[in-house]
This record gives sequence, structure tokens and C-alpha cells, in this order.
Amino acid sequence: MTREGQKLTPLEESLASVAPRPLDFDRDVFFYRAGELAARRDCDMEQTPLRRWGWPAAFSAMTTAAAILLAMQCHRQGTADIPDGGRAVPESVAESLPVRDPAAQPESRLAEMMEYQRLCDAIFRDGIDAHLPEAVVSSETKTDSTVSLSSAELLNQMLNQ
Amino acid sequence: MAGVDAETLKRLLDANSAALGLYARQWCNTPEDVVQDVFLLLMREPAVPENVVGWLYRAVRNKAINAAQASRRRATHEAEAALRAELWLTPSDSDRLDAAVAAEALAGLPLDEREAIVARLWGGLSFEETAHLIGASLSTAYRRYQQGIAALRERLEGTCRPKNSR
Repeated sequence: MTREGQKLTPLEESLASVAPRPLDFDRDVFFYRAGELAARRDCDMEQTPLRRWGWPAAFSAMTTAAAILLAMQCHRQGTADIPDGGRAVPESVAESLPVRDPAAQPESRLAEMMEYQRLCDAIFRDGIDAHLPEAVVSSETKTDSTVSLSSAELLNQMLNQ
Repeated sequence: MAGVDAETLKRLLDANSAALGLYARQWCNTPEDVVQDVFLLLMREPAVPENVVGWLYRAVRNKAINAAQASRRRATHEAEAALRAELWLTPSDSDRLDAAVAAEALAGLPLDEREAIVARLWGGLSFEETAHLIGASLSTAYRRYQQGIAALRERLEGTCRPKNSR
């Protein structure tokens, strides 16, 4: 009998009276698996959206932030250092600045550092008076003795010379 | 809305598993696996489908076709169908129709007619549900069913005994 309630012909009734062969499967195993799935489904349904998506969202956000920071770091390494914190240098000043050969710069810098180290060693060994520049000495003799320079100022002066 | 509970599952299984198995047999020879998988699929659904019986038949149809394709037996399935037909129906107490003869006659029908007859006679689906299930119009589903019944009438003529003939 169909659910539509239409009257079946005798042939249809005869056919419908023959039952389909029952399926041969282990119902206990089936219901065990069904219960397992139902429990898992209910567990999934109990999870709030925050609990379900919280960790993936946090992971995605952190990964994105890390990727952006890495890209920024790579970009910074690729660009030259800008003097004066990035402020624009006036053209008149820029023309007056000495142009250093980039290839020679490391050697000259090394030489300056070695010279500075030698001077420091000599000052520590002989004392500051032994290494005063003549200009400073002469100015000291010419000016009043109350005008005195500190050690750091003297050192800077010597280095400038 | 909650998913299917154990009581509903048991009721659906008892009422429909045999007919679903017969329906699955139209495509594959592993109906037990197909029907079990479909009921387990139903358990995973977060909510009970609106027309759960129609949903079961649709899922069984898809799974049975996939199973047949996967095992690459579909090409020879039509030829094998008659040989396996004795597994389709159980002899009934009414003795109005011989189950083996009916199964053999049914197996001799084209698949689309057989499908419509099984879904409607044993599955209890309406013509609308059958049409939706087979992906055809209502008139097509009705036509296939009537053609199949007519063919069965020819084949079973003389073997079908009236209700009160005993």
C-alpha cells in the first residue's frame, strides 16, 4: 500500500505482499557505530562558535602577523639607511657633504678605528698632557689658565684635528 | 533541531531497511553496506531531514550507484541482475504470488522502470517523491511505473492468484 492512499490493482497488491529480503548485517555492531556517531555529533553541536573557531582564528591571525613582519624585515634589509632619521637633506647641504666612495668606506673606517685605538692606548700609557695638540697647548698658554677643557672635549678636539 | 535519536533510528531501520536493501540491489550487490552507511550518514546529520524516508532513498540511490561504479560492475550488472534476483524477495505467507517468479520478472525490467516500482510499491513513496528521487518529472515517474507494471502483468499473467482464491 502506498502512502498516497490510491487503490492498488490486484497485481500491485500481490507484488507488495511479497516482502523484500531482510538485510543481513550485525545490528549490534551497527547500533554501536550509530551511537558513537551520535555522541560525536552531539559533542560537535555543543561546541560554541567561539570554541570551535577560536583556535583556528587565532592561529590564522598570528600566522598573518608573522608573515607581515617577515615581509617588512626583508623589505627593510633591502633598502639603504637614510641619514638623519629620514629627514630630507637640503640640496645646498647635500652638495657640501663629502662624497665617500662606498668601496673604500670600510677600509677608511677601519683605519680610523685603529687610529683611535692607538691614540687611546697612548693616552692611557703616557697621560693626556703628553699628547695635547700644539694648538691646544698654545691656546692654553695664550689664554687664561682658568679656561680649561675636559678630557672628553680634548679627545674630541684631537680626533677632529 | 536535534539529530536522529536511537528510538527513531530503530523505527526507521525496522520499517525501511529491507525495502532500501531491495532498492540498493537494483544497482549493486552490496546492499547491506550501502544501507548501513546511509543510516550512519543519517546519524551524522545535525537535524532530522524533513522527509526522512525520501532522504534515505535518495542517499541509498547515490551510494548504490557509487558502489557499482567503484567496483566497475555496472556494465555487466544488467546481465547479472536476473541471476541475483532470487535474493530480492522473501516468499510470503499469503502465497498470492511466487516470490522467485516475481523477482525474476522484476529483474527483467529496465532499470528506470524497476526503480520506480520498487520505490513506490515497497518503499511506499508517492509519485511526487519518486519523481524527485529519480530526478524526473512527475509524468515521467508515473509513466515509468505504469510501463513497468504493464510489463510485469504480461510476465506474471497466470501466476498471480486472486486474494480469496485459496
